[in-house]
Amino acid sequence: MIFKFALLFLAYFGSCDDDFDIPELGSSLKASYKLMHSYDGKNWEERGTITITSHGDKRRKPLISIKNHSFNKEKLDLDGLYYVGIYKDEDSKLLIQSAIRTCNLVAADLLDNVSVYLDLEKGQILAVNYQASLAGCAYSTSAAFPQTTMEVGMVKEALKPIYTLPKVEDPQEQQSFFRKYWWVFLIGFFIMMNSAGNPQAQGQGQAQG
Amino acid sequence: MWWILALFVTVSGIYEDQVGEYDWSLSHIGKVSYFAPASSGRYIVATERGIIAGLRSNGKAEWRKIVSKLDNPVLITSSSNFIATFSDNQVSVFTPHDGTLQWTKGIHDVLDIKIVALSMKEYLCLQKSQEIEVLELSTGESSRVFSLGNVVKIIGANDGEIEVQAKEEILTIWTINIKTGKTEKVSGSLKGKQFCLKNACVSQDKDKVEIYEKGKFFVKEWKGKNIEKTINNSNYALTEDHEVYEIKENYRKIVAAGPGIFSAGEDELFWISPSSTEFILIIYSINEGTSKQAKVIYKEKLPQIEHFWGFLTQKGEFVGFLTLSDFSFTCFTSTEIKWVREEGLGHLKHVYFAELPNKALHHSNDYVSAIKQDNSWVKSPFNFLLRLKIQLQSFSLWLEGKSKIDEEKELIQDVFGINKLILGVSASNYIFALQSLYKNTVWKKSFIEYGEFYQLVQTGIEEILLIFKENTNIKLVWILSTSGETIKTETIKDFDLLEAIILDKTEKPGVLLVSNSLKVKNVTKDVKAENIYFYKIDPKENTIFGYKIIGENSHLVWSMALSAQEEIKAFATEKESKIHQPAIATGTSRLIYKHDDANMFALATIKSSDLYIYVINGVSGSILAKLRQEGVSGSVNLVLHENKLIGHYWNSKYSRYEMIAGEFFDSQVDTSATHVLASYYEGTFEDKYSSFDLANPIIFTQTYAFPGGIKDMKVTRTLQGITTPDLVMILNTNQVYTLNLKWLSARRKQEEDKTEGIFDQPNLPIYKPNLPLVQHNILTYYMNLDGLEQLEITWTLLESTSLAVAYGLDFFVVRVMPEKSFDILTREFSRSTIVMTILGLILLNVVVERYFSYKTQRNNFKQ
Repeated sequence: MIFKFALLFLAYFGSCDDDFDIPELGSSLKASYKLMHSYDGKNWEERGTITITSHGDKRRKPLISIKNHSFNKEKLDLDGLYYVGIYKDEDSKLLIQSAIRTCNLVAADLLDNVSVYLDLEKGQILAVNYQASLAGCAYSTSAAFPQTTMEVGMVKEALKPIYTLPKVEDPQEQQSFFRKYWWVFLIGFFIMMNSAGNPQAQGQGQAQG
Repeated sequence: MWWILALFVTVSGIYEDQVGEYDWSLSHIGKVSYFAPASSGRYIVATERGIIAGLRSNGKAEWRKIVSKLDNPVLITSSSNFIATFSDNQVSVFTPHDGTLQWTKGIHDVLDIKIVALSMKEYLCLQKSQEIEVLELSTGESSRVFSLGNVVKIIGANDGEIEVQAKEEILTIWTINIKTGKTEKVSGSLKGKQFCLKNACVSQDKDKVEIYEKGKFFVKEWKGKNIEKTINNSNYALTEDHEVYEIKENYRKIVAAGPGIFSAGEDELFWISPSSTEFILIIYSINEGTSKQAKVIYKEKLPQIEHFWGFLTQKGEFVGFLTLSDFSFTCFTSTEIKWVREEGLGHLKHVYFAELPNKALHHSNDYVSAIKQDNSWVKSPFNFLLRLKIQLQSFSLWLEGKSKIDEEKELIQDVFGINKLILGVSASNYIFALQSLYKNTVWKKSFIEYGEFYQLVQTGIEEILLIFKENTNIKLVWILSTSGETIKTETIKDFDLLEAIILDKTEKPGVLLVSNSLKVKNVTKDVKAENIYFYKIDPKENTIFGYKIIGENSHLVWSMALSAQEEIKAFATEKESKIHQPAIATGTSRLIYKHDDANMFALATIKSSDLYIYVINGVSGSILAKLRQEGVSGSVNLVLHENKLIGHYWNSKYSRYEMIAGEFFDSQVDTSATHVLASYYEGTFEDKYSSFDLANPIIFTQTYAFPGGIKDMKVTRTLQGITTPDLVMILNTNQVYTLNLKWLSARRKQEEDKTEGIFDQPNLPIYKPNLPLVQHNILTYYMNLDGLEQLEITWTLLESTSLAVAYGLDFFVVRVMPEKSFDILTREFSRSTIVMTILGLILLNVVVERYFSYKTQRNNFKQ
C-alpha cells in the first residue's frame, strides 16, 4: 500500500527531463491585419485584409486567410519591384515588408504567396515572405487581380542527438604510393609490352601479306 | 622510345605536416604596466591583459601566468622572494624565478596590495576601504585585521611599524605595530595637497610644506613651484616646472630638467626626453651630484612613451625599459635598443589577408603601371619594349648571380601562394603586417590620427584601403601593402557610416559606403555599382532591413523584426565564396543539387532558453528556414558554407555542447548526367539565378554532441572549392582543432536505417551522435597557447591547402590540408624508388623490344 502511494506521489510531483516535452500552450489569438502594398516602395496603400486564428498550441499551425480589396495592374512597374507589407502590430509604425520583381508576379499571372512569421504570444508580425507562385519573368498577363495563397511560417524543431552504443572507428590508413597506384603501373607495363611488340608484328604481317 | 622522354615534366612538391615548418606561433603577454627587476638578470612584468611573466635578459618570456582570467585587472607587488597579486577576489603569491603558485586565498574588496619587510620577515598588506589586513607572505596566514577608517595608501615600513596614509584634510599617518597589534594615528598641521613617497610624505600649501618622516612632522618654507607628482618607488617629487626635489626633513632640489619622463634607481635618477626617432637619456647620480648624457636611436618613428623604468645593473650598466603607445615593450641601454617585444600583436581585434604581388608583377612594376595608364594599340609596342627591357635586366642580373631574391625582404608571393600579408588591427590603434611564411613583422602603422577603424580592403596588387570613422566624417586612407606607406587620403564629411559594401573580392574590388540617411558613395569610381543589395542587422532594435542601391541612394526592399525578448548571439554569411560543385553524384545514378544561394546569411538568437536559427536570403529577405532548439544558453557559434549550416551551442538541459548541422538542397533531382550535359551543349544550361526567383529549398537537419566548448569556428577555403572542407575550431582549451565536414552532414544515416532516400549519399559516414575529438587533428599539437579568440581562413594556390590564423593574445598561423594527399608529396615519398621504377621500366622496354626483335628475326629465318 505504502509502495503504491509512493508511486502515485512520484507520478504526481516527480519531474524528469525527457525528449517528449509538450510545448507550452500560448494564448489563443484571432486578429486582423491590413495587407499593404506599394508599386514603387514609397507610396503604400491597403491591398487587403489578413485574418489569423491561433489555437494557443504551438504544435498546431494557426489558420490564416486573406481578402484582397484593391489592386491596379496598370500601376505595376514592370522593370522594378512590387512590395507588400504588414504593420508589426496595430500600434506600430514599423512596416514588415517584402518584395519581388514585378516581372515574376506577371509571369505567374498574379498568382502569389504570402508567408507570415508571427510572435503568437504578442500577436506581432515578425517577417513576411512574398513570392510569385510560378518561376519566370514576363511583361504581360491577362490576369487582372492577384490570387493569393497564404500560410503561417512555422519553426522547424531541431532534432536531438540519437544515442546508440558508440563504436571506436579506426582512422583511415594512409595507403602507400604503390599500393594506391599499382594499377597505373600495370596498365603502363601492358602498354609498353604492346608498343614494343606491335611494330614488329605489323612488319611481319605486311611481309606475309 | 623517345616518346618516354615526353613523360618527364617538372613538378613542385612540399612535404606534409612538418612541425614548425607548416605552422608558427607568437607568444605574447600584452601591454606592460608593471616592471620590477628580479635576480639572475630576470625581470618581472605585469600587463593590462591580466598576465604576470618572468622575462629573461634577452626579452624572451621564461614563464607567464594568467592571474585569474584574461583581461581581468591585476594588482601586483613584488619582492626579491615573492610576487603577490590580487585579481578577481583572489590573493595569490608566486615565486619570481619560475612563477610557481605558492598559495592563493579568496579575499574580497581589496583596493591595493603592498609587500612590507619587518624584522627579516615579509608581510603582505591588503588595503580595503575601511581596514588593513596583514598576511604572512610565505604562508598566507592572516596575522591581523586593523580597522582604520578611510585610508589612501600603504606607505611602507619604518622602525618595525607599518605606515598608512589616512584620508584626512590634514596629512595624517597611521602606524601599525604587527607584534603588539597597536595602532597609532599622528597628524600634522597643514592643510594642502598630499603626496606620500617611499619613506616620506609631504603636504603643500602654497609656499609652505609639511614633511612627514620617521614619525615626525616638519613644516618648511617651499622654494619651488607646485608639486605635481611623485616618481615611483622613490622619495623624489616633481614640480610643475619639471624640477625634482628629494623629500626628507631637509628637502633639497636634485635637478631642473625639461619635459620628459623620470625613473628612479637606488641612488640614481634617470630622465629621458623623446624626439621623432631618438631620445636623450640623462643619468643623474644623486650622491655624487654628477650626470651622464647619451643618445639612443630608435629604429623608426618613436611612438609615445607611456611607461619608463630604469636601473643600474650590478656592473653599473644602465638598462631601461619602455612601454610605448603601440603597446611594444622595449629594452635599451645607454647606447642602443637591445630588443623589442611587439605586444600590440597580443591585443589584436581583427585580422585580414592581403595578396602579395607575384614575382613577375613585383619586378615589373614599371610595366604594370605603364599598361595601367595606357594600354591602347598605339602604346602597346612601347609597353612591349618596356617589358622586354625589364626581362633583359632580370636576365643580366641572373647572369651576374644576383637573381636569388630575398623573399623575406622583398615581400613577394611564393610559388604556392602561401606567402600572404597578414594584417592585424590592434587595440593599440596600430596595424601590424606580417608574412604568413615568415615569423616577422614587416611593418606597423599607427592610425590613431584617423579615427576609429572600420574596415580594410585590398583594392589593388599592392594597394590597401583603410576606412575610418571619425564622428560623422569618414577618413579613407590608401596605403602600400608592402611598406605601409600612405599613398593618399580622403575625407568624406558629414557622412554617418551605416555600412561599407565590398562588391567583389577579385583583384580590384569595388567599395561602396552607405550613410545612415541611405546616401551611397562609390569609393572606387572605376568599378560600376549596379543592382546591389545589402542588409543591416540592428541588434539594439532587433530589426533587419534589406536595401537596394539605385544610383546614389538606397531603397528599402524588405524588413523583419525579431521578438523583443530575442537576443542576437551569432551571425554567419558566406559572401566570399560561391558553390564550385553545384551537384553531388550520390553514387546511385542520381545527381542532387545544392541550394545555390550566395546571398544566404544565418542569424542565431536566444529567447528564454530556446535557440532560434534563421537562414535568410539577403536580397529578397525570404526566410529559408527557422530552426529551434530547446534548452540552450551561453554563446553560440555559427558557420555557413555553400549549402551547409553549422551551429555550436551549450545545451543546458543535457549539460553538453552540441552542434546542429543543416543542409539545403534544391528539389530537382536528375537520375543521370545526360540531362545536364544535353542542356549544357544545347545552351539551355542556366547558371545564373535571381534571389527573387529561387524556390524554397529542401532542408535536412541533424544534431550531434561535441566534446568541448569553442570560441570561434570557420570553414577552410580553397582556390577551386574542390577539396572537401574542414571545420576549423578554437576550442576553449586554446587548441585549434579540425573536423572534416563529412562528419557534420545532416544526411548521415543510422546503421539500422535501411530505407533509401532520394538525397542519401552512401559515402557519408554512418550516423553517430558524438562527434570525434581525434588528437592528431589538433593543429596546435603540444603547443601551450593562450588567449586564442578568433579565427580567419583564406585560400592558397595549392588546392589542397588553406591558411588559417588564430589570434587574440597569442598568434598562430597554420596550413590546413583537409584532404592531405592529392597535390602534396608525403614525407615517405621515395624519390629514388620512383626513379628506379622508371629506369627499370625503360630497361624492361628495351629488353622486351630486343627480345621480340630477336624472336621475329628468328621466326623469319625459320620460314
